[in-house]
Order: sequence, then structure tokens, then C-alpha cells
Amino acid sequence: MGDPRLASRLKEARQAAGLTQAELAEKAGVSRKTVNTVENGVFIPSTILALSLARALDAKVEDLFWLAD
Amino acid sequence: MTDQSSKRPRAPRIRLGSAVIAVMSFICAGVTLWMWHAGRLDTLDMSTELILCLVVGVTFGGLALTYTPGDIPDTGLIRKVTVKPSLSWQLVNNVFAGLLWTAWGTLQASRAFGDGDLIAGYSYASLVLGWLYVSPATLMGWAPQGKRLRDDPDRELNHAFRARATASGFWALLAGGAVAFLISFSAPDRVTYLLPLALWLGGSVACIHFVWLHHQADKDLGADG
Repeated sequence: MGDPRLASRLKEARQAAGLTQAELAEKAGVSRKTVNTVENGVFIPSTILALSLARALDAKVEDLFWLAD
Repeated sequence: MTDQSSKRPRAPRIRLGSAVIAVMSFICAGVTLWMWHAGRLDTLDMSTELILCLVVGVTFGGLALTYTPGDIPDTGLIRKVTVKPSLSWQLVNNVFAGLLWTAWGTLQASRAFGDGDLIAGYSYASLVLGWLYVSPATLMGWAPQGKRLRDDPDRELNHAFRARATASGFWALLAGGAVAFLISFSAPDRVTYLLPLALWLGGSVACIHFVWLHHQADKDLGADG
């Protein structure tokens, strides 16, 4: 349902940070369902949400999301 | 830590509202179909038809506002010019539509009961009861809704799902309109009655798709880790 042009390693980055989906959701100010749908590619996050997730993981947005060639 | 619902403001009951609108749309469609089948629509005078068109237009204008297409970015400027006016218009629309439906339904129900037509009376009364619930609920829940929406942790997801649901509703509406158009060649006098059905179909499909998308997302949650 998502856009195949968007690649993501949000799940890997979250697990590397030792966070559960609920913990990341709490830090980013969204629901666990939102994090889960982003990880599964169901939902493409807005710029604000992508920045929030990156900040919560202490990472850069381009480390979490990039355009698949 | 796993349950953030206790720490955050409660999200607006958007899905429940969508389900209620869907059910009411089906009731409206059922009443119209029954009236058509019973030949009642042929007896409506022009003023009644005008009120009916107004009520239908207001209701589905509100649905269109409720299901704002697009994933609205979370920026102050855009939020000011899109979400807030939209919310205000939804309030005006819902209350106005509620008053119109209630008045029209009460009038028709009283006429039907007066004529001894219990089935028609109860059909109209069901419309009235539905809107009698929606209007006060809208008014009572409105003041804190803006803040709840801003703080809703599912807000972005709701926008994305609404966009998809709106698209589904549009295609259903288009299909219904196409069918009505084709029928107009053989029975032009029936199109007046089919177009509201197409509108209700579009609204119902949009609502049901929105609820289904959330249901699927809930199902896919699985274990956290």
C-alpha cells in the first residue's frame, strides 16, 4: 500500500537503539500503530514525523529513509 | 511503557463516528429504496423534493469536509488554513444537517403515523433518532475536540487513511453516478431517486474503508519488539 520508491531502515535503527515500538512512539509523540505502519511501509510519514522519528532515534532522516533506485 | 493511552489525551472517536455515519447512510438509502419501491416518491411535491435535495447536499457536503483528502503536513500555517476551518465547517454542517434531518423526518413521520402507515412512520422515526443523537453529541464534544485532534497520536495516520478512504468513496460515487446515467436512457424519471443513492453509496464506502484500514492496522500490530 505504500510507495515502493521509499526505502526505510526504521525498524533496524529502532532495534539497534534497544527500543520497542511503543517506546519509540512515546518519544516521537505518536501512537505505536503509527510506528508499526511506517515500519511496514503501509504509511509514508510526513516530513515532520520523519524528523521526529529521527530525533527520537538520535539519527539523521536520510539514515532512516531514502529513495530506492 | 507499552501502553501510552493512559499518558496521552484520549483520541477523538473518529472511527465510531465514521461507523455511525455509515450505518445512517445505509438507513437513508434503505428508506429511499423502500419509498421508491412503494411508489411514495412519486407523490412528493416540489417543496418536499427541494428540502430533500438540500438535506442530502448538506449531509454529503459535510462528509466531503470530514474526509479531507491529502496528508496534511503538520505545519502551523497549513494547519491554520486547512484543519481549523474544516473543523468549524464540520460543526456548522453537522448541526445544520441534524436540524434539517430532524425537522424533515419528524414531519414525514407524523404524516405517516397520521395516515396509519406504521412502516413508513418507523422508518422516518429511525432517521430522527439517529440525528437526535448526532447533533447534541457533536455540540457537546466539540469544544475540546481541536486540542484532542492536535494531540492525537494517530493524527497523521488518520490523515493518510482518510485520503485513501476518500478515493474509495469517490470511485464508488463515480460508479453509482455512471449506473444512474445509464439508467437515465431507459427511465429518465428514476434518476432523481438514484442520485441520492449514489451519494449515500460513496459516503458509506468512504466511511467503511476508513474503519477497515484502522482495523487492519490494529490487526497487524502483533508483538512489540
